[in-house]
Amino acid sequence: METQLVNNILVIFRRELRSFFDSPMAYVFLVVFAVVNGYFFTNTFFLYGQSDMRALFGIVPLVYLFFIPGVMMGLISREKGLGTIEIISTLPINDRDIVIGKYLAGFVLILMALLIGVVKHTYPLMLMEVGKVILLNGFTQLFMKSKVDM
Amino acid sequence: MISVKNLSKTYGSVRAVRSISFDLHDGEIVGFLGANGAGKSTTLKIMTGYISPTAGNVFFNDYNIQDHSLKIQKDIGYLPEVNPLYTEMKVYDYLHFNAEIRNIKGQNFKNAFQKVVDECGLSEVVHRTIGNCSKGFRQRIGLAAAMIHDPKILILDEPVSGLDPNQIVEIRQLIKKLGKEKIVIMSSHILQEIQATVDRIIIINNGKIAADGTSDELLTDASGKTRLTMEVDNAEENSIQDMKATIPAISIRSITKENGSKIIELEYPKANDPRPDIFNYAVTNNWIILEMVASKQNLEEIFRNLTKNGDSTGE
Repeated sequence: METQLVNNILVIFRRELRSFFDSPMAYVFLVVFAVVNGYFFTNTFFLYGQSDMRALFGIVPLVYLFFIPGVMMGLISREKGLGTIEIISTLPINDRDIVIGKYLAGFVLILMALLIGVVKHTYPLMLMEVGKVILLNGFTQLFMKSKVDM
Repeated sequence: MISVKNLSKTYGSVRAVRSISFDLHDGEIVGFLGANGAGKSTTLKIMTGYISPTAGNVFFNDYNIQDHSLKIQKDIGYLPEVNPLYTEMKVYDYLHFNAEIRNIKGQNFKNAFQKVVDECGLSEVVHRTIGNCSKGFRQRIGLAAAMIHDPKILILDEPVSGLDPNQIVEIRQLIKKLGKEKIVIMSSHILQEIQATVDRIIIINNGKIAADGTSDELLTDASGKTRLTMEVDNAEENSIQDMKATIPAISIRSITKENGSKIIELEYPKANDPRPDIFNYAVTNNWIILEMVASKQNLEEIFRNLTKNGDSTGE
């Protein structure tokens, strides 16, 4: 019974996560999230000449305020809009598994966005410990920012 | 076996289904026939567990759909009327998703996949995105998804809509084949489709069952009369009218002249076949019978008679 429950959640999770990447939705989300976070990070970075993450950490919850509903609110309503709720509701799977599977998919997408931020923002800090931070930071940030802007 | 007991569904003030009851047995292909808004789809949606009835219940081998929906849904394959699909998925992925939910994996999935792809004619689109498939293919993808787990019960709401005539024949043959061992319930408002495919017809009108029986039973039982058309030569008008006095069971509907012969259209009760008497009467009066055909009412006529007073109630 538990195996079936895990199986159902995993199936819904995989389908949902894949559907994010089968459409432009996930890519748009990840890029916009990176751009917004990048802006708040680099703003402080260049203004004060410091790798200070505090301002960013203060602003990220506000960014989440817009981005998380953007990802999560469509998970069920899109099924209703497409009419696929009729298919999924008549499959031998209960509502709880559907909700958990979808929630996990949305959660993983947001984690991916955060992971991009972590790599981007911690790299300059790592460089700081080994020196040559100003030059390398400048180039790295410009390189990364240009990639994000693309 | 499926047993529908006093099923009712009300949407606000609209009574879509009004206390209908019927039983379905294994190996039976049943057609739900009714005008748009008659209550066909609502009944099917309740049977799949998608919506709850306002009153009554549906029993699948003593398990009712409201309390044991997950158990029953394992044995049901459902093709909804609008056939909603995840258009961003590839056909293979969509069928794989449906199979995984039903715990069909590995070699079992490969076998099931190959079977439904062959039966539904999907081999050329298996790696195509569903959104790029034609309506006919989408309909067959929906059907394949409903069949992937080899369900005991197939519920198909308008399964041939959007298909071309060749595809309709293929799907009809497939449904007939499946109906030998499963319960297949299909709905349609296309009379010819229902008549050609199903063993038993349930006509729904205004949320109620207006008729229930095989095609032949409905054709004769609706009026309780069989119609006989005769083409006779050498028959006087008087002798034709006198036939009614000799054979009281018949009623003459019309007499028309055609190329010197006469076409007589008459009716008689199903239970009382007067054809031998008619033949003897014709011999006695020196009629030459050129043709004698017992023609039943057609299904369209019956359908119109049964549904002409029904108002749409919302489907």
